[in-house]
Amino acid sequence: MPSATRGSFYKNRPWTPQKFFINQKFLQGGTGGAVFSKSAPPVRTALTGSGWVLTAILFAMLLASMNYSNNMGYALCFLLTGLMLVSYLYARYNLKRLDIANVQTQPVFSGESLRFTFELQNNSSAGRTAIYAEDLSGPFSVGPYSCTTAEITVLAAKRGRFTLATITLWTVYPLGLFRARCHIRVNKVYIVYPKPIGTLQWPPLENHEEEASEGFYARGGDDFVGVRPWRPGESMHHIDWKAVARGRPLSIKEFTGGGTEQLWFDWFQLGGLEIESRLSQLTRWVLEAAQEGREFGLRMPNRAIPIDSSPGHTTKCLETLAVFQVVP
Amino acid sequence: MKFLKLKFQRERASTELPIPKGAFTWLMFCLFLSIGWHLWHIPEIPVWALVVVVPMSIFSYRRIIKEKPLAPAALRIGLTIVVVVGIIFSFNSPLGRDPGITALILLSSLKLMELKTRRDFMFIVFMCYFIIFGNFLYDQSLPDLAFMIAAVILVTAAVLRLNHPGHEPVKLWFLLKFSSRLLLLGLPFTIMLFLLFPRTYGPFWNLPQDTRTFQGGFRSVVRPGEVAELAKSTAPALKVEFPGNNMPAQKDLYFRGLVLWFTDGKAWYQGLIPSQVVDSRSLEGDGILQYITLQPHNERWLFALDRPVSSPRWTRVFPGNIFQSLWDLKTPIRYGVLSRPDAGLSFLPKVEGNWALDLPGDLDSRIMALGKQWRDNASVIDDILRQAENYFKENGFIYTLNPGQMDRDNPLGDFLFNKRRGFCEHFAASFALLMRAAGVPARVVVGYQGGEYNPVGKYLEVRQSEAHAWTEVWVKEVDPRLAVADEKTGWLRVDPTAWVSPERIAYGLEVSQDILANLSGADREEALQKALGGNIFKRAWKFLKNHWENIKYKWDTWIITYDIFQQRNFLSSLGFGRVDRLSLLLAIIILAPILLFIISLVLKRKALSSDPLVRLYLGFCSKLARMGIQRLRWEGPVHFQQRAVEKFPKKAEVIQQVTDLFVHLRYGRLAVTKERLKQLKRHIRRL
Repeated sequence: MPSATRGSFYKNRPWTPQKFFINQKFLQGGTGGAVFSKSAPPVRTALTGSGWVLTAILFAMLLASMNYSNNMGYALCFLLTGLMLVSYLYARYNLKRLDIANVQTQPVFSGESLRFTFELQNNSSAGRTAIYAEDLSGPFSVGPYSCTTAEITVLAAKRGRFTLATITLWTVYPLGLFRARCHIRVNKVYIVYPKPIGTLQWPPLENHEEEASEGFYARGGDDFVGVRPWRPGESMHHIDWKAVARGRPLSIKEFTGGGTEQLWFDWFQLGGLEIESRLSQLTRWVLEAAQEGREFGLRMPNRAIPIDSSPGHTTKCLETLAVFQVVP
Repeated sequence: MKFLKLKFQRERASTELPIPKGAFTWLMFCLFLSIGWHLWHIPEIPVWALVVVVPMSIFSYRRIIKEKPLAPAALRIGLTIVVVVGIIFSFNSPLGRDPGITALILLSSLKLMELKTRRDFMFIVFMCYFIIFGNFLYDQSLPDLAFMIAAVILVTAAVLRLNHPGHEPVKLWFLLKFSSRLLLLGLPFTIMLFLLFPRTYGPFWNLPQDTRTFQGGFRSVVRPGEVAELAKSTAPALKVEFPGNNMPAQKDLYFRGLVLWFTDGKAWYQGLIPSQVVDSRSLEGDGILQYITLQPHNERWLFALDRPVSSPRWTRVFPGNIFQSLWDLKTPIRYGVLSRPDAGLSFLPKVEGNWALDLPGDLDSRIMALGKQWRDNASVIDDILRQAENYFKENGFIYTLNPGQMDRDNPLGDFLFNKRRGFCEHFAASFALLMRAAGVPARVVVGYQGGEYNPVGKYLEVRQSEAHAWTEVWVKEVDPRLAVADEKTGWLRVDPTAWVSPERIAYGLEVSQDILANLSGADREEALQKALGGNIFKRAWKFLKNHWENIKYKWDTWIITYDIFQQRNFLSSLGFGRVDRLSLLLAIIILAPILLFIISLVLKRKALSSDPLVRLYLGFCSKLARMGIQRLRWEGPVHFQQRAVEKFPKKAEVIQQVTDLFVHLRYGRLAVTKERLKQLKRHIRRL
């Protein structure tokens, strides 16, 4: 349908008068991200509480001026009305051509605060003042054609994998009478791990003769094997601190297990608990095991993660727990 | 619901942001400024209120600055009660203009005591706006306009300071410039609304306290001595334009306002008299057309040259050729009126004849006897008038602004037979009594006589000092025994003041004051010439005064008295004919978005030019971008320079010069001066 095509065209490329006045090439910043290729998010404006109060006061002034046929009263009333309207335009203008890039975040546990850091970019030749992001982070000021680092904090209430679809930018600058808001699309995926709670002891070690590991990295047992240099990224738990104290370089004490005793955290071992409590308990075990540098595996109804002890392994387990869903 | 909740949370959060301390100081300054202007209205606003505000505000300001907790609730409540009681004691009613403004002033400083959040701050800011507004309920002169603009710029700067991010000091100049720019951008709106907002007739309601007089003026009761008090003021009363260029001579400039029919022997009253059917509303026809700009006097009477024959639509006409507004005049008003000196009734209605002959029962017997004596010696009315003239001229009557205190019970008898010093109302009142005693119907007329012609603005300025009272007598047969001269019929104006002090009528009060009535003969003539002349300084002063007065007059006629009629005239001069209120509102609704759009375009253009240094550098970047190298958004000038030099090795020198200078000016210790900016510009041009 031609009309629909035209509609979507306008939606994607809003016409603005500046397009004709400003050098396009110059506007398209170095990111290669064309300013106009992305549809500008609509700016919504509403009166703040102060704005409503001033409206009421202007109305009272108007009534008084009418009653006393007071032309200077009218003049002041209309002067303030003009001021209010200009502050409306300013507030809207203050949010125009702002963009958000490089949204970064770290996974957290449910119940903690999730922090997003991002770059607030100003693609216009005028500075932007007193911009707030989401509830109350800010104020940020961004000079013309520059960017600043901003951060928002969100309470992670539930575990799972989520998408932060938009970040809301708002401003009441300059007079605090109008609040302009726009939602900038970021589509940032983030993960919230289950809350690590639970009081149960670790499950008993499982005996797996056939899987007895003999490799050099088979750590986590009781028998001392030897010492090797520490490599960055490795757990600090097995550093030979006594040796460090004697002035030696950082080194790791190697142990080898009985070879057959394995630690498995199993979903089905926790039959008596509710789903979320099970996940929380498993999370806690995983964290404890990771902290002690033990090798462990995780068995969930839908998948099993084999025995390992690398940091990546822990993350993988935690992610599995975060996104776990019971399919009925 | 969830959304709503979220919104409210956000709202609360934003009001809990800390307030920069600079903003407090600024707010205090603005509050004192807007209250300070009310010092001009001291008689109406009690002194104690203006005095109490200062320590209260300073007390709370110091607490805020030292970050002490809020003043205890008991203190705040106690002070509020004290303030409310004080207002009720000072004014009998809590309603009205004066108590309202006083309460606003006091409560704003009380609000300062509980200032905690941004919302409180904004509330005080709005109170400041309203206090500035309140000023116009007293006075709407040009200095008030200047004050209003300055005060609004300053108060708005306080809001900008509040909303400006960070706690670092913001340059005052920046704030003032910004707030002026906001106001300037809104100015088209202000003008559009001012011109098009439909004006209304008169007030909707009257508040009890408002009936106190504004700036002085006549009362509907004239007691001997009252006009003299009024005449000591030089405040402007009315300004008259004669579009037909037919201004009468000075001695004929009698502006009538009130006709007093009734007396108790002491004071003269207008009394409750019914209004009349209106003859004409048209300003066309024979006669002297005047446009009168009247200063507010809080009463209803209107003035016009003797004697008006047509009157504006919003007036009522009363016996005695006077007309009155339908509402109390609280703001300056401009109206057109047509007068004919010979106008008047050719017959005397019986009821008016009774009013005009009514004498108080306890009249001084000497007055009665004198009147009777004149009557007995006369065969025509002219004889009576002649005898009266001789009496006033030959008995050593003195015209003076300070006649002294008359006998309280019989002031006019005391004046006529003992003191013989009086102002115009003494002469007019006693003459009217004598006429009535002689059987001639007489009434006292109050208004203004004379005025000063302003050659710059081509208008006549009448001040309160021109206040005057005179008499009118009925010279047509009232008594068959008195013959009537042919040429004089109807109500005849007789001004006894002119017999005693002809200079007052011919040259005005100022001159007659100068020569004082004590002089006589040649001395008097000499003094008159001296008073009329004046040295070069006096003339230069007069020249300046005339220009300034003319500016004030134009202000009054174009801006202050812009009412429903002037609005219609203005629109019809634009070719819109008669426009009703609804279409005016519609026009505002249509024009508002158009203006908003135009202002937004201006705003965007303005935004392009922020810091001249940055602007130059951005121009440099865009020049390079055109050449094919784009500065990345995160790229600093130095890194960009390295890349640019790699790409254009031939231009390396220029690029380096520009970058070096920019970096030093922007981040280094080099001060940004005009010369250096020019130098930068030159470098960029060489690229």
